[in-house]
Amino acid sequence: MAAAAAEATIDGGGKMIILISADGKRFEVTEAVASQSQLISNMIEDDCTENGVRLPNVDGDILTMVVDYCNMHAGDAAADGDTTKASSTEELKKFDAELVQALENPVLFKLILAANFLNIKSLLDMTCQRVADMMSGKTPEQMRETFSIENDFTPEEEAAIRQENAWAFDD
Amino acid sequence: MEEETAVADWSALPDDVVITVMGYLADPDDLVRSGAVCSTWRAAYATFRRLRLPSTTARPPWLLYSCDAYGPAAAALYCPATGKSLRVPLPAALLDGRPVIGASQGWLVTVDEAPNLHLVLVNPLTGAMATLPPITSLHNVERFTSRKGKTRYRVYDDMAYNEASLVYSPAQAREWAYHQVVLSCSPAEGSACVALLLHRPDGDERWTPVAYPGQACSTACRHAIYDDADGLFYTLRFDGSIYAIDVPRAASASSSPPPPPATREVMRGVTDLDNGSKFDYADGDDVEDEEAGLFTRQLQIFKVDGGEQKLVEASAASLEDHVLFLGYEFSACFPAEHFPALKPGCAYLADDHELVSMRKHCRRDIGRWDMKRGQMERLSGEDDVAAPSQPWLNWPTPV
Repeated sequence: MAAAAAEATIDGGGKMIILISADGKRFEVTEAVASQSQLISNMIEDDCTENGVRLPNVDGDILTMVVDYCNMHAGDAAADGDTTKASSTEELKKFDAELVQALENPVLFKLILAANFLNIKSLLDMTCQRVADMMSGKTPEQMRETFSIENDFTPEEEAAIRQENAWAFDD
Repeated sequence: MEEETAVADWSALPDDVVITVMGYLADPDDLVRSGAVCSTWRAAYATFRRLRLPSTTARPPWLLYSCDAYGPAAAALYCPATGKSLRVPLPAALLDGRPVIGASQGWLVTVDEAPNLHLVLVNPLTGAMATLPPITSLHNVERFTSRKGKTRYRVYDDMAYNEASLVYSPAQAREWAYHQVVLSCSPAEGSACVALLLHRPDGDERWTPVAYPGQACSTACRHAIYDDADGLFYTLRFDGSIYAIDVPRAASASSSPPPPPATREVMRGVTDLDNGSKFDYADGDDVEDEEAGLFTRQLQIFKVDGGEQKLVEASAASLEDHVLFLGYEFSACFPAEHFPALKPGCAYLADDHELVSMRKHCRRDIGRWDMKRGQMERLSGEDDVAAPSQPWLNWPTPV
């Protein structure tokens, strides 16, 4: 399907390009959809997408989510004339809320890395907001539990950090 | 990535991503605790603060007060948007009896002891302090010793140095000579901050006096705000006129003094109105009750139309998507959708009357004013409040 897609054009969407995940799964998307990734947008400008774009940092499951997200949000980036393709704001909000709520460790972690690597700002912002929400109101110890982070401070270092802003560690 | 690890190593999150996450933490205590999780997050936190990156989320104001439960050496911070309370240790000298004459950019402005009566800036979260020039550096104040050997301050009425002058004792000068201080940004290390001081009587000059072309000296300044968006100070005078002040920033390397501040009239004076901000002009009609102090009985909001030179009264309905914070030292207006826990169409008030310094032991005028119903409701955080003043504070940049 890659060969057929290379020349295909869809009204407003432009050429199709192929994204290839770390585990070899192929995704066919329009340039407009893929351009939401600043990384791919730059590659399109430099004409390096002919043979598909290999994404060795992103595995198939995560890329599926990214492509879903970009398909939904393609309307954002495109000119607002094409109302048939652009999702309504309500729909988008619902989609985003459901996506973000469903995210759990370690998928959230991987999706953040993918959004960061692909440089999709809106997706990165949304997932970072989710992490911030998960941290809110927690003690450092609870944050470590939530994110399985090892406490690598020495007792002296930790005491010094707490001392510095003792008001934040009351509980 | 076939090998599905059950647990992700979040400490391996790239620094710039951790910093983005920190920008989304709405409360300053969450931010501080995030820097205590592990050494890589600690490094990101240090960068976040060093670069003074702006927060992505809107930050709600906190009410700062002292209370019996926390004792004299700590202040309480209460956030009506989250219901959170913090106990912040502060040197007792900073709160006990010191007038608070400003609260902006997360910093309090207080006045220290005689003889110099410096303005002292304090960040209650970090404990950082900065001292501004003494009272005698004001162009219209001089200190002298009375015949009985006591320190006194002579304050001239206006820039003309005419006979009209008042003599204050240190205690009076401390409470009365200064009116309000507004900061253009947080004065933490590395940032050039401009402080605008309104002071009494009748005159509203900064240490560099701000000239008001064509204005009689008899109308003094009542309230001032700083607008981050256009970098201008706005002052409201007792006659209702509104001025924009552009204070040029001195180039740090250049030794030549910056040009004087430029003043522009936004709105000509009108009568019978007081207390406002740049766009929303709030008239807190305070009714004086001899026994119990000042209470808000009525609140009117006006939109300032500089083009038409008039004030347009805003209906309660037009503000039902907004939340106002009004205080003597700090005023702000937020879209209600940013803070679901705040009640839309309400004004959160904290002692917005300038005479609060004369009524320190009276009941406080603190609460939530419902603009539709036109009445005051209690804030849950106001129980047990015993402070000399309760300014709203917010932390727009990393604390």
